[in-house]
Amino acid sequence: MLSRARSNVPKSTGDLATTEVDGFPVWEVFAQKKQGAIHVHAGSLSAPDASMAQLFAREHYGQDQQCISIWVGPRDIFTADGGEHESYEVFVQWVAGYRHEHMGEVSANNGAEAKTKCIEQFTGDKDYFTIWSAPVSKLTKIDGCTDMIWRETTDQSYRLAKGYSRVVRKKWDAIRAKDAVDAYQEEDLEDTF
Amino acid sequence: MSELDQQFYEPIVNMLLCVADDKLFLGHRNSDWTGIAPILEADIAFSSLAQDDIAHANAFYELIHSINGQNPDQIAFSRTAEAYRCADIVTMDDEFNWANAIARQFYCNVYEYLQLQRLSNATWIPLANLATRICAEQAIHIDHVTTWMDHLGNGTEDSKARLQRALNLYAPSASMMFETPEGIDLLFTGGILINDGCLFTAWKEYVDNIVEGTGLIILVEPCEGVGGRNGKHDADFVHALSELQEVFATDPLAAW
Amino acid sequence: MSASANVEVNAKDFIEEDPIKLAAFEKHVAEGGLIEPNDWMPQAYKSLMLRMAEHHANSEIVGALPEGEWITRAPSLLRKLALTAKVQDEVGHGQMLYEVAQDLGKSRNAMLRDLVTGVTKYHNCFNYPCPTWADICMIAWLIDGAAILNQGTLAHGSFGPYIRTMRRINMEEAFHFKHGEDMVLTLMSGTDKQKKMAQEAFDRWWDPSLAFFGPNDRTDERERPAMKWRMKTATNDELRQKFVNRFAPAAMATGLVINVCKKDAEGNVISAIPDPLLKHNEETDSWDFTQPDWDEFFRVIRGNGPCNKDRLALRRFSYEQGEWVRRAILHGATNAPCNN
Repeated sequence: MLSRARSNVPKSTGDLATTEVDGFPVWEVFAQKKQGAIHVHAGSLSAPDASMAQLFAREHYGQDQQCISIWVGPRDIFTADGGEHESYEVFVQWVAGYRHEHMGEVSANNGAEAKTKCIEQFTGDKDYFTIWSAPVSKLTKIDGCTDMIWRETTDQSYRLAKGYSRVVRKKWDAIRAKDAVDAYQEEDLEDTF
Repeated sequence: MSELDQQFYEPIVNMLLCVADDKLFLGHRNSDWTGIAPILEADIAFSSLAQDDIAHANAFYELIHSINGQNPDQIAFSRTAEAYRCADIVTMDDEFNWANAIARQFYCNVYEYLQLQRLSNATWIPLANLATRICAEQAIHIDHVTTWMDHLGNGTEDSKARLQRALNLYAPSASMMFETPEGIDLLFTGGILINDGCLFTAWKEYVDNIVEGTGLIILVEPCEGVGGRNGKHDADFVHALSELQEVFATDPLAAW
Repeated sequence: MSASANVEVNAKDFIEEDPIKLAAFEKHVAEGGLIEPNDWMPQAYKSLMLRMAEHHANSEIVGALPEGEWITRAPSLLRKLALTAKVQDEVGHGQMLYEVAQDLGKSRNAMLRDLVTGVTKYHNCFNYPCPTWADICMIAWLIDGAAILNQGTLAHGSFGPYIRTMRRINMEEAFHFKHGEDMVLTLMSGTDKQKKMAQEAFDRWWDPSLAFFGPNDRTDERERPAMKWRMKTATNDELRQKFVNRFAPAAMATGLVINVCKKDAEGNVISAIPDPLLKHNEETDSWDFTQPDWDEFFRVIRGNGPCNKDRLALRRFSYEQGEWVRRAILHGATNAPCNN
């Protein structure tokens, strides 16, 4: 039987009982996979403030892929031209379709200048598609050393394809010829298995 | 010590079942929220915690397995109601009311965290090691529930009222988390566990501290009476157990 | 986990566009170029992309519900974990796709409200009942298997944010599928009761899997916007044939029989006969098969299917019951821009 809570869901009809609450602002999330790797754009999420954004970012963008550091900031800080004189992290999207990558830190008077400095110091003559800059004072940085991000002890392979690949292959091999299984598995998305 | 004297097997298994069954059923109950929570991002986060709890339960069942050879799935799925050792707060129907879910989470997560800290000091090394590892992950749960208590407690008058109602609703069953499991005294006198003072007092201080500033009041009293930790369970637990066992029970020896 | 590439353009979205810009856009896309949110795009493309992403997001979060029904009844600790993670992934996919759609101009709130009031739709396959544990196993194997075939091609589409999202979705889909294989293979090497339960679930889900790819191709499929603008890169029939070629021999190897089934209005199978057309065609090196029951498919779409009301009711409940929470945390939001 369904759980009690699911069985007792009322079936309302007609107009929705609620009025609309304003949507939450959008936040961009960057994740660093391991020591020495750069922060790469992981995606965006909606949250009312930094502490919720951080909580959501960890569980949604930090869980699956091993990661040791997450940066979160409201979307508009990345594209803003205005700002104060301070340090800015700068990010480059080299080609359409690819993710923004962290290039480094520059000192600038505002966002526009930070982007210009990014070109001067990091992209040079190379073609790029877009540049983002974020004032360090407006970024929330979560560090694996001081905050728990990745569950270090519980084996996460139950939620990964590679956690099942070997066992499934063995089960197929027990009932099908090798080349039939090979042909069947050709459709498995290569980079995920 | 890494070898446990046989006289302690039964009380240790009993105590481990208290920990593991709490986690199993809290995870079981909370996993039902996946797809239903009020905000998509919150749904994802809450589901991670439910998975943690089930994985933690599994780790404790594995430890029991190292003592009595029983298979973790068999331990988790095949007992009759009286043989489970969870406090019934973990299986109370929350009616998909987020205030209920957070209030229960708050009471349980702090309890588990403090208990795991104490178990980290056990003299039986395998238990101390396991508890230390799990306690580190439990910190994520504390962080999560603290953030929610803060946002709802300091949110609107409505959210504060709802949360207070939920805290009151779960207060009596929260007391029962502190029911003494059978055999625990032997573990203390035998030096397997270190008696670090009254767990209830430590817990009450911890939760009062988290809600300070919100105006919320915790009305939980020390435990009285016999309940889940000694196998006496309520109707919600029995219902949850039959959900848990529904498919498994069609063939307890089959592989799934 | 689904394909929304059969969402059509609305006639009203075809406005007068600057012919030079339009020509450049179409050339860019035809040559494999990608479009990012700040690039110029025709209104019709923007609207179609939005509706595709919205439809896909809706499908993910509605799809989470039937599988969610079995989380508490999963019969082992591993299955409890894996199924919870799968459904969690689907919520995550919905979240990411709603962000893509929101960036194209429709707020998340508006999309959720339209979903729960029946204004917008979701993938038809989530209108069918899941009466047993084996249904969960079959969904993970067949429907996620179909989705992977489909989404592999979507990941080569033209809209940047959607492609990036599809890459992550595909990675998680791969886990759903592998786990699905594990569950089906376990049942089919289990007890007679398990095999029977598996066969009956397979009978319920084979047709919806075939129908997953959408109706038979129109003659002008490749000239229609979705393919012309590279929002989908293979036709429905091509993908369907690929699916059968892969899954028919695999299913038979496990001992499953591929039946042609008739269903009642509740989605229960009322007759099942081995597919008389099913055989490997030496000439085409493909498997011949009986098409899904298209009458039943369109009946379900038009009449909203056996489970539509219940699933939308649960989604609506979640939305309405959650309003006080969203209000509270927005109200109590700390204005601190960050936690430094």
